[in-house]
Amino acid sequence: METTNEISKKEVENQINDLFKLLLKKTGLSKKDVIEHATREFIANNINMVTSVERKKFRQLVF
Amino acid sequence: MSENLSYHLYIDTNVLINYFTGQTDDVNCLNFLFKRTEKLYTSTLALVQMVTQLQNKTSKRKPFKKEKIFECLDFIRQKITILEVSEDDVFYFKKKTFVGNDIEDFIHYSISKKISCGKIITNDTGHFLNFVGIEALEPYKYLALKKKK
Repeated sequence: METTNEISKKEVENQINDLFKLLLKKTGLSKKDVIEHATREFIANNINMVTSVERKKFRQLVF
Repeated sequence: MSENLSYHLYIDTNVLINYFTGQTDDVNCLNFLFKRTEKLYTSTLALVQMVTQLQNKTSKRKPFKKEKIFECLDFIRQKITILEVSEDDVFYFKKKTFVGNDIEDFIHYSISKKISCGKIITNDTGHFLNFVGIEALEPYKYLALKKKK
């Protein structure tokens, strides 16, 4: 049974989402901007895991 | 994960020009970066391009006088590490497939790769879209993503 002291996962997720929206509004960024930034950073930090053979598949990209 | 390359930032020509011509986003971004520990880089190519632009008049401003341009160059030298453009940078398209239309930005990319810049601060992010190892961010976006208010 859930008590008032227990953390509701759903409620935390909602609050994180609301906080995210609030910060997007304050910074003037869009969700797409943040996702693009995180994606680019993730790729740059892990690019050494992609082999030269795999890289050839991505003809439009410069590694 | 490998080393976080975000620590090295390459500053593009247009940001330098906008800084000295007083564009708010560029001024705020560079002033913020000057107080931080990120290593800032630009290049002799960017400086020559900047000088060319500053000494020409535009519809919005008069040309900079030479003394003023010398001051700008001295200021950059104090604040930002200046990288040399080599023949290899100019002919980088011989080594890497050049996709896109902006040859000049391809050269900037080659220069920035030499010291593993993780980000380039530029107002023309579109020209850097297909470069995987570097993230191009506009000054206002960089500030919004990094600034702790």
